[in-house]
Amino acid sequence: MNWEFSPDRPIYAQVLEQLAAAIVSGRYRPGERLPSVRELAEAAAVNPNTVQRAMAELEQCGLAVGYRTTGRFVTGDEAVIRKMREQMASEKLKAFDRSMERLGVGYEEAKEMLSKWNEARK
Amino acid sequence: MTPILTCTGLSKRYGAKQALSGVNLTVPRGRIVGLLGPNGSGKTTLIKIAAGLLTPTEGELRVGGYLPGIETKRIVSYLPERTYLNDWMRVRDLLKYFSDFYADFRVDTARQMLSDLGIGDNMRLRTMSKGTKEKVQLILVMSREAELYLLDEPIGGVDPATRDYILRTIISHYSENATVIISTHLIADVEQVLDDVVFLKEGQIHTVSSVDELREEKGKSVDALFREVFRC
Amino acid sequence: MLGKLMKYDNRAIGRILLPVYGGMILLALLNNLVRNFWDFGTDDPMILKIFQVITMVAYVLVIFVAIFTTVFTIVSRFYKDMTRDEGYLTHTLPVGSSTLLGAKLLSGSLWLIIGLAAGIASVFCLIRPDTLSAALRNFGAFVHQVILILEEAKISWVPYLVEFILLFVLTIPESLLAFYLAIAIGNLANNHRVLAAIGVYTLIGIAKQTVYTLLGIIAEHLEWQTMTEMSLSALTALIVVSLVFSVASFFVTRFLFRHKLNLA
Repeated sequence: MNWEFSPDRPIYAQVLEQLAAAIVSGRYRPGERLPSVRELAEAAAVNPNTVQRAMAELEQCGLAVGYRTTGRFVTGDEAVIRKMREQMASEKLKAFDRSMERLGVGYEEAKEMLSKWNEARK
Repeated sequence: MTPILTCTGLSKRYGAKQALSGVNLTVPRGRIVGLLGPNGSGKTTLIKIAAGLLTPTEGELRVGGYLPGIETKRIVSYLPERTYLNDWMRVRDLLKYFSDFYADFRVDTARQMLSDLGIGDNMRLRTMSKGTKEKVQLILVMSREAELYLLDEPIGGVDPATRDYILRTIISHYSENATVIISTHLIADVEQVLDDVVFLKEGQIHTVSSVDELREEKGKSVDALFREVFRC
Repeated sequence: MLGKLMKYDNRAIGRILLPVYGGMILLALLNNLVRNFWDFGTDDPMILKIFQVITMVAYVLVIFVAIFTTVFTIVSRFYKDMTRDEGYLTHTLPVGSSTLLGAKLLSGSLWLIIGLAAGIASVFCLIRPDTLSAALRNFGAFVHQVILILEEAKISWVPYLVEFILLFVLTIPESLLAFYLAIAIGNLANNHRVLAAIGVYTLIGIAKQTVYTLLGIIAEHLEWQTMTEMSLSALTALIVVSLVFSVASFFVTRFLFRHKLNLA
């Protein structure tokens, strides 16, 4: 995981985002055990309380499940994961839309640019 | 649990200079706290009083409920801003020294960290570079299972790699019962490791808040906020 | 804790002083050899004399070096440990100020005594072994004679001896405490702390001398029954004064380190 944080947003929110992204993209698979708070804090060079808060929120929104003795696991409920993935992706799309609007690039033009870019990618 | 540090109306004057005035502060356990302010703002004075090296002119400071004395020195692990260890001692002498005087010193932890950095038991402090000496001092301080860690400018004159190592060591030693107070003016590097920050301006408390709260409220990093508050 | 503090003090002081004392004794032995047994393989009396003079001069120099180094090492270690960078370690140990001061006092006194013993031992090393045993026997006989004479004249020598020894023993911590006090007071200044300490030490010396002079004047104006009574009283007074100085120095120094500590 590439732990880079932007300085003007709360860190716990950014940790939460990155963990959620890892789960919805399948880097952490359903039912897989998540690293401990301490491990994540050390890896990310972030305060453990911050990580704890992010993990707690992860549990709140249903992406993770915590057991007192055994630790935290990604939820086994794939529907929840899919829903979250959709939600996060559409947030990115909204942001993309706004950026393009600011540049004066409309939907059709954007579609063209996207396919060209997709071709070049291969 | 009782707060680990409480200051009530704490003031300290050196001759003409008022280093601290009317400081009221409560620091709970299990937090990593940044004591932030420019040079001369009173950070080191506050830390020295907590370490038992200075007596207040007015008011009081308590650690774990006790006034600074033998009981507090047992539970406080202090890293000063300078090299304070005997130059001629070897690493293993230092390990023995700390074990002798501090019941909470974990020798194996210290040994492990020293060997991770390739610092041998037999090395004399005198032969080490400044950066290595600072790492040794930090390792000794963090290897104590103390209730309050006071780190005065721990990342001050060191290279980025050492800085990272120091911050990771602080994180990995985190415990819910203990608190780490880091005094520094290099905020950008330390910000994401901190739970809470205390801004000290000209000997008085300016702001006490958690890092997350500050970022949410002000929409900027603590570092940026600091530059605003302390603009010359 | 006291023992542990002393352990480290002794180690730090010993690693400097033991070699010096060792050198002192070796030079004494060398002197012995050169004067009594060895002729350097030369028949020339002139060259032999030169060697003997050189070794003797070297020995005397080392004695002075030993005396100076002993006092300097003990005092400078106190200064560094209590008021300089190492003070950050010393004063954050979970140890009381009395214990801290007491440990310094005990280890300092110990090394003063060791130094003295080493010096005396080196003097014995100067003398030829056979002459030495004869000299010791003669000295023993002499002392025995003196005791007999004193007892016949009904002079009680025991109290004198006891008081002399007591006074000697008490001077050791008293002189160290004078240094410690001077350093503690000098540390209150903001700059030039060493100079201030030297100044204070001088003042303390003057103050003590004044007290002794005053006592002397008082003694002259009192009525004394016998010579013995006067001498014994004088000795007792000196012992009491030394104790008072020591105790006062200890408590003032402790107070200063406890409440007025101001590490650089």
